[in-house]
Order: sequence, then structure tokens, then C-alpha cells
Amino acid sequence: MGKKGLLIGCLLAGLLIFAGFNAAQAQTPEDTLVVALRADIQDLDPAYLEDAPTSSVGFQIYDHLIRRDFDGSFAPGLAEDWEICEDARAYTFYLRQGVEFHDGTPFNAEAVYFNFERLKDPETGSHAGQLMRDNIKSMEIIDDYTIVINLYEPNAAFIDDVLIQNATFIASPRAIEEYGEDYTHNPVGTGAFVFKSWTPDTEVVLERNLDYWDQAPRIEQVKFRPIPEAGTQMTELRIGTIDLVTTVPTEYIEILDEDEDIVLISEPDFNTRNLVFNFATEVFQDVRVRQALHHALDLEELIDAFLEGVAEPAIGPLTNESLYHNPDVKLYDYDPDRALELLAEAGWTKGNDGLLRNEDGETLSFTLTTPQGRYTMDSELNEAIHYQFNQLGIDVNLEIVEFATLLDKLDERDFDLAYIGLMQRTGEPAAHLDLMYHSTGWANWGDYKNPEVDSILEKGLRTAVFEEREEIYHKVQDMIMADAPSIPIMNEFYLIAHRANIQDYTFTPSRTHDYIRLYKED
Amino acid sequence: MEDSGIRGQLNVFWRRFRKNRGAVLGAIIILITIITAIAAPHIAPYDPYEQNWRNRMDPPSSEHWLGTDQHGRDQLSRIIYGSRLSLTIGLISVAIGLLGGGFLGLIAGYYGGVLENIIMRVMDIMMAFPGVLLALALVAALGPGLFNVMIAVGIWSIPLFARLVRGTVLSVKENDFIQGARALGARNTRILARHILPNIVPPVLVLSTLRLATALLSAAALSFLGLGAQPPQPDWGAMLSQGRQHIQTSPHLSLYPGLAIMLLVLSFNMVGDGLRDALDPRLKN
Amino acid sequence: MFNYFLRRLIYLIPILIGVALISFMIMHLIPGDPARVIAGVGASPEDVAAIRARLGLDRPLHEQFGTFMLGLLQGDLGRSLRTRQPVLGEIQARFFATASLALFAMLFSILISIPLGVLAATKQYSIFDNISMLGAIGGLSAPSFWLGLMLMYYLAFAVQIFPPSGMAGMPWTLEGFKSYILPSITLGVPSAAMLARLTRSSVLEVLRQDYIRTARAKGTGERVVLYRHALKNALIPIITMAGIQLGYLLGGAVVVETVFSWPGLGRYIVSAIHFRDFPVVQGGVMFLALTFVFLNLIVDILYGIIDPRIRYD
Repeated sequence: MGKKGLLIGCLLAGLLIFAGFNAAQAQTPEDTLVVALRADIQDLDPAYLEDAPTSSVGFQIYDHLIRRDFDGSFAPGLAEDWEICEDARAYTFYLRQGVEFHDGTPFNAEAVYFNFERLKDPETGSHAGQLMRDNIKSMEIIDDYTIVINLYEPNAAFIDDVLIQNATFIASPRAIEEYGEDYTHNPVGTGAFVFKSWTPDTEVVLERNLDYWDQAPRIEQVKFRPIPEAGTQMTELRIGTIDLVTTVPTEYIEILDEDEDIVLISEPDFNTRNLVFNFATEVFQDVRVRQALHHALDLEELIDAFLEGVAEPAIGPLTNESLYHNPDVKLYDYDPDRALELLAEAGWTKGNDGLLRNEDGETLSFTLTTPQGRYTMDSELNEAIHYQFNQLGIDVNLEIVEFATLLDKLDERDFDLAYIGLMQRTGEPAAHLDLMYHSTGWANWGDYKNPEVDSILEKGLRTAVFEEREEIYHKVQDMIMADAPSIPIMNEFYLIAHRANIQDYTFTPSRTHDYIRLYKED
Repeated sequence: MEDSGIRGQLNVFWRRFRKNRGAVLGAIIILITIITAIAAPHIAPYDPYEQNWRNRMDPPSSEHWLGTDQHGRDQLSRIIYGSRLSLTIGLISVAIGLLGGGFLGLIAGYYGGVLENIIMRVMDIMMAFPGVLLALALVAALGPGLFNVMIAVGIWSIPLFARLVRGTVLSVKENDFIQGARALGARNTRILARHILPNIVPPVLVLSTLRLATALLSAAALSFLGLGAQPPQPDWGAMLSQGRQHIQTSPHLSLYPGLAIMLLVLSFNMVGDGLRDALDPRLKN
Repeated sequence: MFNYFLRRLIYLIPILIGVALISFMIMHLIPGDPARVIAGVGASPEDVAAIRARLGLDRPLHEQFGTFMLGLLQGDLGRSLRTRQPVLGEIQARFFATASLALFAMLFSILISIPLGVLAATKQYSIFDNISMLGAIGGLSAPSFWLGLMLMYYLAFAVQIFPPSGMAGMPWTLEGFKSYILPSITLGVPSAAMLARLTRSSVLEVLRQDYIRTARAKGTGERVVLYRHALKNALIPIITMAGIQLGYLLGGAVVVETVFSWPGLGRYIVSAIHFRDFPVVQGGVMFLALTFVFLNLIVDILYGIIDPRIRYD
């Protein structure tokens, strides 16, 4: 065989190989739902379960005592019914009877007690440990299916604050004791799907629980595949090698809309995105400067240009979707002239170079810090915000950091203005506003302090009657907005895409997905 | 005498280099890039930072020859200004590798002994480190930003320069004329400056040119992994990396920065080849 | 030879200690507290402190490094902060994917580069030579994630020949094999380019040697000259280069693994860096470094076997 022969041989072999491959890629099997994750799961032990990918798997394996219904209200989960005593200091739960964990262990009050005590134990080192210790004073097992939880302080938001967290999934006590540190590879819950296998960075496989107390899932198997590149997820979805993507990049909306094989769903969500002022930064101590920066931002235009149809401008500090949201909260319209006026009052006037300066000739300068790839379009949006501030004559420095670094900077108060999102599973105002705007709130990174706001927020926590609470929280939203400790940017929507052959797909507005009812059409 | 000798050598070099058409083409492209970088404000049709949200991701048109980007900025202007950053990244990171590695290699090769042993073992350690990961961890430690990227990429090439320089010094050191100079009592610095350095220049020049190419690719890879240049700087690697999200809808966002990087890297590679062939006749085919 | 091998092995010890020390230092210099990341947005300082204590991150640095080194001696790389699983197990679970991908990429580049290099050399200065060498230098010049995305777009989406991402199975199954192809090409292109150029120049060099001239003068057929004499001798530098390249492929698969969702070690370490999962980064880097230095050692030894002129002393 000469050189030519060799060449021809190679070509022939190549053609043959290609011919063998030239069938369309295998579509997902009819009895299996394949879901894309942004990253591999981490730890399926509820005590350590925190991140979004693991949580979306956890929701299939485990149940909560109480679940959030499709309309956002509470619905029975493992607790069939519950009572809140008048002053919201004790909660009684009546548990569902005849439920078994996937390993056959019976579910009862003992199991709830075991799970919650384990979380409280500092030895466990759960991220929710302090939350449990701060809230739960004691638990009483009345009988096999009745348990009372006593709180230290009245807390009308206890269910939202504590019981709908990832950590309070109820796991099989027997499995936890049996597997110890290997539990994460052998998780056992009561949920609609049973854990089958986890191949790191490749897939997590769940099988349906035919004995599920609610109703047996129609689909036989759910497979989660971690695919870090968003573009790769989209390619896989469009050729049908995955069925469902729960974090769709906005860049693909148009393309998916046109694709007949894809259904795109976008719905309002509880998540808010904010720019938080650090009160330790001198220029931000003047309320007029903070208000001026509100006026400087054209939120409508910003959201319209970058996130059309997948977010709406925030109306006040509380998520627009909350039952307690105040739609009439006073906002700061886009008004650059008014912004310049306010800044002039605060002593900042335009110099010959177009930059705002004070009497001493110093420029109005600060750093805008944002993570990249953590929230939808985070760095792109802030590049635009940066530009809009610059246009006004402000000397802004844009700083893009990893999320881990951002958290560090927030804790150390090492920032001026930071872009941060609060993932909210519910619209409960206490869970949200206390965290960000109470002077002792964990997420009050800017150290905003207003004693009046503090006391009224505390009052809201002690109030269980809806009308009274509503009045309280409407008022506090106005107060916060007037102080302008942050710039609420937007309410982000869900953006989910699935193959068109998937029927009856349902989900709740808290990024939990219900795969019980869905099925695939031929 | 000596002057004409060098001129003669340069003449020989130029005649050889000129014959390599690829290298000449590469040199021309690099020259054009340098001119573009210097004259950017005069060439660029628009302000590379001016955003226009209503014209986001417009395809190429007569107004915007290469289209507009995610913020409605003129992509051609950004690529023109980006040439400044790309050249800076290449030059500074190679300079870091060259100065650091060259110094260490020179000492190791010339003085030998324990010092050489220590230096070369440290270089071995650095070589054993998986490259991109070292750079990534360094940028994570130093914080993102162009300068830190240059440091990380530069440190990565220190061991390469150190090994090359040490090897060259060792082979030159054995030459008769060095032995002779030593015997005549010449000082170390004089020997280094007069005899050893001139011999190091050609191979170092070749490696530097090739590392310029690698530096640009590494910086782009860091951008892809989320730790590169900071927007709104018009860095090609960052533009390519951000544009990849739109590869199915607006391919021009990643195509042009990608081509720009590839063309410049290609030129550095071709010039590096040409230099090697022209400076080292033994390798000439 | 045995002595040489032993000495090289002993040399590895300080290198590996150095790698351990550097990776430990860098990780602890990085801003960002893993306990903070684990606790998530809105966690109380007490929670973070509890997690820090549970992970042993509250102890002095030298003590942590001591624990790490002691564990290393016993083959224990500690536990991942994210998954609480032993790091060694996590690495083993991913090493096969990385190593087999690197081997495939190497295979691909050898299959492409050697015929290309030989043909280019025999037809020096022809159009074929010019085009293939330009192609090779082009292959060295494209950012690999860009190349990967382009390949995925055209060969997995526009024409659906290969799966876009993931490792669909072991390479000896058809599905698995198909999933290896795009990532191996993306990973192997720069090596292929380098090897093609090297093959061309070493064949050319050998062809100029005296014994080839003698063979030709004796009337030996051109094909025999090329394959029996020239290629055999030209192979020595090529094999060396391929061995060194394999080491780089192992460490350089990071970007390709991210693009193609490959369950490999590089992608795992990158996510660990972002998450500040110290034990995983330290362990993973150690593991890759160890593989790299061993590969180099093996290349050196192979070199001696192929080329008897090399003496170990």
C-alpha cells in the first residue's frame, strides 16, 4: 500500500465510522425525565444540604412537615394538620399516619424529634444549627403522631423561617445512624422518588416511590445531569438529550421561543436582587446621596433591555410577590436632574471635567461590587449600572468578584455598594425584611440602623392576625424606602424550559419542582 | 570591528528571516496590531465604552462593521482598543517570566553547586504544578483583574525560561573562550556580560515570542474559567468568553474577538518559528 | 539503571513536598472562607463559627498543614468540605475520566500528526506541506474553549453526530466511545499540531543523515528508506515529546472538561477552587503533580530503552 493507498484507506475508515454514527443522538427514554443541573450535587444529608442543585434533588427524595402549595399558601406535607397557639409561641403538628421511609422505617413523632434534635446539636455542625437552637426551646411527643414544638419567642413566621428550610427535610433516623458519614451516598427519605445512584459529576438517578403517600409518580425515573456550561445545557435540550432546564440563560429566550420542540415557562418568583449601601462608606451616610443614586438608575429601561420578560423592576424592599407587599410604596423615579439636585444639596457639584466634586475638590467615588455568574445577568447588569452612574459624573469603580469573595467582603464590611440576591422560598415578610433591614439582621451587611424600623419589625413577628400584620408590613416598607438603605433592583422570574412532549409539569414559586404528575407523550 | 561583526550577523539573520514568508506575514500583522494599539483613539469609529441599550447585539452593518455587543457598544472599536490590552498582557507576563526565570537560570547555570540545586528543584516543583490550575489559584488569591492575570501567567513561564537559560549557560560555560577568559582573571560580571549574555539572547528571544502566544491563550482561558480581565475593559479574552453565551443567536460576539486572538497568536507563533530558523541554522531545514 | 531510577524517585520527594506546601499556601491566601460559603447567604456568625470548628479551620495554619502532611503519609487526603467524603475517593472517581480522555487525545494527535508530518516532510515546500504546517500552527493558536464550542455547535447540534457533552459510558462501548470524540479532538489539537511540526522536522533531519544517503546511493527504494530507516530514527524525539505532552494533557484538561461537562479531575478542582474546598484542591493538585512527575520519569526510562546511546549514570 503506497501513500495514496494509505490516504484512501484512512478516508474510507473515516467515512465508515461517520456512517455508523450518523444517526440522530439517542433521545431520552420515555420512562425517564432527564434534568440538567448547573453543578454536581454536594451533600444529600439534610443537615448539610444548602446549595441549589442538591436542594432540587433533595426535594424529590424528602418531604417537609408542611409544604408550600402552588398558590403560595401552606399545604399539608408529612403533617396533616397543625395548630398555632394564640401568641405564636407553640406549634402542634398532627402527623400523617402509615407513612414509611424508603428503607421501611416508620415515620412518626420520634422521627421528627430525632431529626430536629440532631440539627440543634452543635456537634452536628449543621448550617441551620443556630437557627434551630435560637427558635426551638423544647419538643414534646404527645403520642406517635402528635408533636408539640415550643419556641423561646413568639414567631408567627416559624413555618417559613424554619420548617421550609432544606435542613428540615425529614430523613430516616435508622439510615442516618446506620450509614454515618456515608449517608450522603445512601440518603433515605419519605419523598416521591427513591435514591438509586450518584455518579460524581455525571448523574444522579432516582426511581419512583410507588408507595408515596400523596400519589405515585407517573414517570418511572428521574435523572439529574450536572452540566456547568449554560450553552451546553441549551444544546442538549434542543437536540433532546435532556428534558428539563431549570436555569435558562436569558440569551436563549428568543431561540427557545421559536423552537417548536421546547416549552418555555417564565413566572414571577420571590427572589429579589438589591444593591446594598455600606453605611460605613462616608459618602453613603448622607441620605440624599443614596436617594440620588436611586434617581440615577433607569430600572425600567435596564430590565427592559437586559431581562425583558424574565424580571420586573422591584417595587420597594419586599418581593413583589409577597402577600404583604405594598404596591403603593413610594418609589424613586428615573430622574437624572433630580439626582443632580439632591447631590448638589449634599455638596457635590459638577466640575469642568464633568465629574462631581465636593468643596475640597474630591470626586464622588465608590466601588460597585458584583458577583459573576451567580445571578441571572449579574455582571452584565452591573456593567450597565456602572455606566449609568458614570454618565452622571460619578467616579465609580466596577469590581467583579467570585461569589465566595463577595460573601467574605460583605462579612468584613469591605465594600461600598454591593449587588446581592436573596433567595427566598416564600413571600413571608419577616424572613426577608428582618434579615436585611433589622439592625441585628444577618443579611444587614450595610449596617443600616433605624430604631423605629427595628421595633415595628419586632411587632410584626409577634402578630399572627393577617390584617394587623399587613398594616404593619405595609408601613415598614414605606419607612425603609424613605431611608433608602439599598436599591431594590428587581424581582427575578423563574425561567424554565422543557421538551414539548412533557405534559402536566407543575412547580411552586420557590424553585421546588414537582415531578409527580408529569409524564411524556409519545 | 565588533560593530561591523554584529551588523554582519544581523544581515545574515535578516536574509534568512526574510525567506520565511509566514514569519514575515506574522511580523507584519504584529506591526499592524502595534500601530492599531498606539493609534486606537484615532482609528476607532466610536467610544469603546459608550453603551446604547437599545442597540444590543446588533449584527454587523454599515454603521457598526462588526456589530454591537451585549451593551450596545461598537464591537470594532472595542477590538481596536482591545489590542492595547492584549499586547500589554503578552508583554508584561512574558517580561515577568523572562526576568524571573532568566535571572534564576543565569545564577543556577553560572554558579552551580547548592544554589543551582535549590533553584532547579524549585523550578521542578513549579513545572509539576498543573499549569492552568496554578494560574487559576493565583488569580483567585490575588483577586481578578488584568494585572493579576499577567502575574499569574508570567509566573507560570518562569521555570521554562530558567531551564532554557541555565542549559544555554552551561553549554557556553564549557567553551574554550570562557575558560580562557577565566584563566586570564576576568571578573564574573564581565564574563557574564561579554560572553554569556550574547549567547543567551537568541534562544531566549525565540522562547519569548512563543510564550507571547501562550500568554494570550492562557489569559483567555482564565477569562473562560471566570477569573480574567474586569469589564468594562475591552479585553479580547473577556469579550470572547462573554460572547460564547450568544454563540447560537449572535455569533459575531464571539467570532471576531476569537479571530482577533487567533490571528495575533498565530503571528507570534510564526514569527517565533521564523526567529528560531533564522537564529539557529542547525534547525533550519 | 536501577540506581538512576531510585535516585529519581528520591528526587520526587522534595518536589512533592514543595507542591503540597505551595498549594496549601495559595489556598489559604485566597480570600473567602469555605465555612462562610457552606453556610450560605443569611447564615449567622455562630453558624459559620460552628461549621469552621467542625471542619477544623479554626486551628493555626501550621497545625492544619501538619495534619495534612501526616494524612498524606498515610494515604489520607482528608475529607472534602463540600461533600464530607474522603478526598482520595472523590479523586479516584474522577481520575479515570481525565486519564482516559488524555490518552484518547494523545491517540488522536498521534494518528493525525505523524502521517501529516511524514507526508509534509517528504513533500517539503509543496502546497501540501505549506497548508498542513499552516494548519498545525493554526491549531496551536485557537483558544481551546472556543474550538470546543465550535465543534459542539457543528458536530453535535447542526449535524447531530456526537453527543454534545458528558461521558456516556466506558470508551469500549459505542455510546461511550462517541462521547469521547469531541473532547479528545478539542484537547488533542494543540498536541497534534506540535507533534506534526516535530515529526516533519525530525524526518527531514534524519533524511539528511549520511546513512540515508548511503542507503539511497545503494539503490534502496525511496519507500523503504523512508519507513525502514528514516521514520524509525525520527520516532525517538516524537515519542519523548508525546510523553511530555501526555503530562500536560492531564493537567490541561480543565477547560475542555468544563466545556464538555466531562466528569474529570480538572473540572472538579476548578469548582473546588471557587468553593474554597481546600482539601480537594490540595489533594487534587498533589495527585496531578504526582502523575506528571511519574510520567516524565517513565518517558526518561523509555527514552533509554529506545535509544541505547543514552546512558544513565
